[in-house]
Amino acid sequence: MLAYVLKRLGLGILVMLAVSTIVFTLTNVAADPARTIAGEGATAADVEAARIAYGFDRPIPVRYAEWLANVAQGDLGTSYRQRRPVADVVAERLPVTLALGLAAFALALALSLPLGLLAGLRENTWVDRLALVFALVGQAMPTFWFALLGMVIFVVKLGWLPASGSDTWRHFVLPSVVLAYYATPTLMRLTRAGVIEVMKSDYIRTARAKGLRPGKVVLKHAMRNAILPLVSVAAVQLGFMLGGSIVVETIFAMRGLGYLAWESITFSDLPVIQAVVLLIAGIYVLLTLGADILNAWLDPRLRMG
Amino acid sequence: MKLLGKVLSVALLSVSATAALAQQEANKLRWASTQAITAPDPYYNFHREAMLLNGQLVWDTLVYRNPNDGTYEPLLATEWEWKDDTTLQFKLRQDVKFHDGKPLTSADVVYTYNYIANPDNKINVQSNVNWIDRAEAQDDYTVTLHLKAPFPPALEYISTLHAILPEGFYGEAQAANVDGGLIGTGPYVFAEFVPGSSMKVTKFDGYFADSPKGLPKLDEIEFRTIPEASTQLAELMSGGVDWIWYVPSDQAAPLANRDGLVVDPAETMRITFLSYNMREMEGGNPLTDKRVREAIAYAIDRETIVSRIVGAGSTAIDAPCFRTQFGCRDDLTKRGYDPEKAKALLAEAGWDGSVTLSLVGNAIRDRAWIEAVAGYLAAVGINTDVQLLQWAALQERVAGNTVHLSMADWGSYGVNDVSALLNNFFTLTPDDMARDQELSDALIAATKTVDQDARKKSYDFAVSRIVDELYWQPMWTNPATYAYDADLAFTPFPDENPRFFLVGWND
Amino acid sequence: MTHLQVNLSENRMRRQKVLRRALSHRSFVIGFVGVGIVLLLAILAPLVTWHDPYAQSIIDRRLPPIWYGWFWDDPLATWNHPLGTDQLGRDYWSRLVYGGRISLFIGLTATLVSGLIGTTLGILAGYFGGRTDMVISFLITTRLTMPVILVALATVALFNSSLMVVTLVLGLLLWDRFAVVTRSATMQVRSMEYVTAAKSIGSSTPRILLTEILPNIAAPLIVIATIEMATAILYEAALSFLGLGVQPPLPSWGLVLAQAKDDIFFAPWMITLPGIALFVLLLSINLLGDGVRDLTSPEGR
Repeated sequence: MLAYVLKRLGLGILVMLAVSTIVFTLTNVAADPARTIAGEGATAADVEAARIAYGFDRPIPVRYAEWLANVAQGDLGTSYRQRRPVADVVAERLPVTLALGLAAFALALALSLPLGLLAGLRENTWVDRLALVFALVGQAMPTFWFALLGMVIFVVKLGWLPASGSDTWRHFVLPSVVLAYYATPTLMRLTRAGVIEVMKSDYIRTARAKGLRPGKVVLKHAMRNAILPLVSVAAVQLGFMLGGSIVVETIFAMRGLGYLAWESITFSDLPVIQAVVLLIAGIYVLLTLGADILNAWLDPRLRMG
Repeated sequence: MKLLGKVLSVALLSVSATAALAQQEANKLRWASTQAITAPDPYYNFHREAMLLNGQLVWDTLVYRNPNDGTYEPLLATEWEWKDDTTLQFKLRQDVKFHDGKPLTSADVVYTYNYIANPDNKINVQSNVNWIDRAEAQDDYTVTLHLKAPFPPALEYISTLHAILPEGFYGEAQAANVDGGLIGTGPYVFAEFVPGSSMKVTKFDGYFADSPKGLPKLDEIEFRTIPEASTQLAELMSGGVDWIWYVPSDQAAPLANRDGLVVDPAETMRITFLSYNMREMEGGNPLTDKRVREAIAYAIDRETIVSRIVGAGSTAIDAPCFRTQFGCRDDLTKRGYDPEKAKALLAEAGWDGSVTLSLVGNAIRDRAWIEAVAGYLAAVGINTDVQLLQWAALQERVAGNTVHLSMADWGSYGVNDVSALLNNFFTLTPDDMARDQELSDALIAATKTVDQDARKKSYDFAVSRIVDELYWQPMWTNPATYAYDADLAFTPFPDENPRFFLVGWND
Repeated sequence: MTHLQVNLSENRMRRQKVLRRALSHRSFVIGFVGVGIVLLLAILAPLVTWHDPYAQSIIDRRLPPIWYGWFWDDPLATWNHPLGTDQLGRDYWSRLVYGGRISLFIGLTATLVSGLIGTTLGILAGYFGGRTDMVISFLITTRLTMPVILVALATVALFNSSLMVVTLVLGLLLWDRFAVVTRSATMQVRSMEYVTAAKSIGSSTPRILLTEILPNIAAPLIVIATIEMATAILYEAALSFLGLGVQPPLPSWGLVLAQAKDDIFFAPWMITLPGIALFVLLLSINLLGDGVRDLTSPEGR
C-alpha cells in the first residue's frame, strides 16, 4: 500500500512539473509583462524601464529554470501587481475558494445522491424523468446567466441575500448553489447508473432470493458499490470546481482563487497565474490520490491492480 | 401574479429603505468600483480607485486645486513661489499633525519627493514624477523643489497626485507597512485594508479646521471592489452600497426611475479618439493616403453615437483635447457625418474594399462604442477586423505597428494642461502612430518653457496640426454616470475624481 | 442470388429495427429534432431572416420584441423586428439565427479537434499498451490536472481572442474524455476475434486500427462528442462573459448573452432570448447524446 502511495505521489510530482512547464511557456511566450507592470497610462519609457528592471529581456528557458529553482526552495516569487510575495497573495485567497468549493460540493452531493438513488431504483418512472430534466437543465445553462437570475430574485426582488462579498455565511449561499448546480448533473447521473447496474447484478438477486428486504439490500450493497466510481469522479469534480469558480467568484466579488486568477490574467501577473495553476493542479493530484486510496479501501480487489 | 409582484415590490422597498437609513444613522458611506486596490499607498497602484480616490482621504498634497475653477489654494503649504524656472519653494503650515500625533515638517516633504523622484524606487507612473530632480529643506518649514528642466504644469501634478507621506513611510523594504504604519495628514484615518477587496477609513478628529478640503463629515468610508457592473447595480438596488459610478448608459434611465436613488451622468476630462497609423506597414497601409483618413472621419456619425449610445454626460468633440485644458482650442476643421462625401473620397483614393483595416479598442470600455464605429465604416465600404484588448496588449500592438486604427481614451490624470494628453502620444515614442517630427518638437518645446504665450503658440500649432493632418479623429468626451442614495450630498467634477472628503449625508 | 437477397432484406430489417427503436426513444427524438431545427435554421439563415445581422441602425436600437406590443401596447414592437433589436439596432432574430452558425461552428470544430487528438492517443495507448500506454496515460493525467477554464482564459487573453483562437484552444483542451474512453474501449476490443484474425492474415497496424478497431468503438465516441460539443459551447459563453470570447461583431450566442448581462434587471428579454437559444441547443445536444448511449448500449441491443 505504501509503495503504491509513494509511486502515485512521484507520478503526481512529475505531472505538476509538466503542467508548470506548459503554463510557464504559454504565458511567457505571449505576454509582455513589462507593459502591464508599468500600468495603464504609462509611457513607452516607463515600459522600457520596467522591462529591464524585471529582467524580461532574458530568454524563457533561463527564466523558467530560475523560477523552478525558486519554487523548489518554496519561493513562488513576487506578484507584479501587488508587490507582495505570491505565497501570501495566494494563501489569503485560498480559504474563500475552499469554503465555496466544499459548500458547493456538499450541496451537490446532498442533491445528487438521493436523487440519483431514487432515479436508479425507480428507473423509467416519473421520478426518474424529473431527475433527468433537473440534470439536463443544469447542464444546459451558462453559469453566469443562472447566477444573475439568482441575483435578480434573491437579492434585488426579495432582499434575502447579499449580492457580493465573502464575509459571512450568507454571502456563500447563492454562489454555492450556483456552483453546486453546475456539478450536480454529472454526480447524479453517475449515481443513477451505478445503482441500476448494481440492482441488476447477481449478488443483489441472491440477496433478494435470500429474502432480505429491498431497502436494506440497497443501502448495504447497492450504495456501497455504486459509490466506487462516484468517489473518483467526485474528486475530479471538486478539483474542477476550484478551477471553475472563476465565473462565480467574479460575479459575486468573492475574494477567492478564481477571482484572483481572473485579475491576474487580465493583468498578466504571471507569477500569480503560475502559482494558482500549480496550486489547483496540486489539489487535484492530492484529491485523486485520496480517492484512489479510498477506493482501494472500499474495494480490496482494486489494490491488486 | 400581479398581487405577488406588488407584495414583492413593497417588501423590497422596505428592505432597501431601511438599509440606507441604517447607513445614514451610522454616518457611514459604502462605495464600490470595478478595480481593486493592490497596495495601500498612493504610489504603487495601477488604478485611480487607490492612487487618488482613497489616497486623498488619508493623505494631503502641498497645494489644493479647487475643483470648481481650477485655482490653487493652500493646503499643506501656506504659500509657494517660483524662484526661477526650475526651482519652486514651499512654506509649510506649522500646525499640521499626522494621524499618530507627529507634526508635519519639511523632512516629511523632502522624504516624499526624493523617494518618488528616484527612478530606482520604481513608482508606477514615472511620467508623473520624472521631471523632478530633488527636494531639499531650507528650514523646518521651508522646502525647495528642484526640477530637471522647466515644467510649466508642475503645480497641476503637485496639487492632485503628489500625496505627502511621513518620513520613512516605505522603510527598508520599499513597501508600505500595512500594520499601523499607514499614517497621513488627511481628513480620514486609515483603518482597514483587505488586499484586492476593500479599504476602510475613519474620521480624523485632529484635522485642521481651515483646510480647503473641509472637516470630515462622515464617521466611516468603506470602499469595496465589485468587478461586475450588474453586481454593482444589484448591490445599489438592494441597499448593499450607497454609491457606484460608471453605470452603463442603458441602465442609467431605468435606474433613475427607482425611488431613493439619484443617477447623475457627468462629463469628464477623459476623451475618446480614433488614432490613425501613419507608418508604412507590412502589406501596405491605405491610411497613408489622407483621403482615406478623411473618408473615415466623414463616415462616422459621432453625434448619433453620442446621443444614442454613449449617453448623457458626453459631447461629440472636434478638438483632440478637453476644452478646459491649457493649450486646447476648438476653432478647428470640423468633419461632420457625411457618408456620401466619405464614399466619394474613397473612390477618389481608389479604394476597392480589398483591404481589411484592423481596429483595436480597450476591452474595459463599452463594446458597443467600437462596434458602432465599425458599423459606420462598414456602411461606406471599409471593412474592419475589430479586436478588443487589454490596455497592455493594445499598447503592444500599437508600438509593434500591427494596427491601422486604434480607438482609445485618455483622462490626462485630471491635469488641466494638454501636455498631460498630447505629449504621451505624439513625441515619437514607440507608440506614436503619427511620427511627425515637427509636431513632436512643438509639443516638447511647450513643456520646456514657462512663457505661457510661447506655450500657447506651440499648442495652437500642435492641436491644429493633429486635426488638419488627421492623425487623430477626436470622438467624444467620456461620461461618468454616478448612481447613489438620494440622501447623499454628492457633487461630481469633470476630472473623474469623486471627492469623498466633501461628501456627507443630508439631514 | 437468393443468398444475397436474404442478406439484403436482413440488412433492411435490421436497419428498420434500429430506426423503430430510435423513433420510440423519447430523448433521442427530442434531441434530434432540437439539434435539427438549430442546424436547419443555421443553414437556411438567409432564407428565414430579412435583415442583415451586421447592419446597424443606431436610431432603432433596443427595440422590444413583438410581444411587448401584444401585452403592453408598446408601439415600438413591430413584426419588422419580431425579437426586437440589440444595442446597435441590429435585428435580434437575424443575430440569433446567424449566431447559431457560430455557436455550432465552435462546438463542432472544437469537438473535431479534440476528438482527433483524443481518439488517436486513446487508440494508440489501448492498442499498443506498455510504454506507449504509460506515456499517453501520463499526458492524459497532465491534461486532467490543468484547470480548463483557467488555462483557456490565460491562453486566449495572451494570444488575442478571436473565433479561431477560442475554438482551437477549446479543442486542444477538451480531448481528455475522448482519450480515456477510446483507450479503455480499444483495450476491450483488441483481443477480440476479428482483430486477431486481421492480424493473422497480415493486415498492417494502421489498417487494423482504422478498419477493425475504430468502427467498433464508434458508439461511445459519438456520446463523448455530444458531451464535448456542449461543453465547448458552454465554455465559449463563459469566456465571452469574462470578455475573452469571440470578437464583435460576430454574434456567437455566448457573446450575445454576455453582452446583455447588464440588462438582466431592466430589459430581461435581451438576455433571456439568447439564453433560451443556447439552452435549447445544449439541451438538445445532451438529449441526443443520452439517446445514442441508450440505443447503442449492450443491453439496448
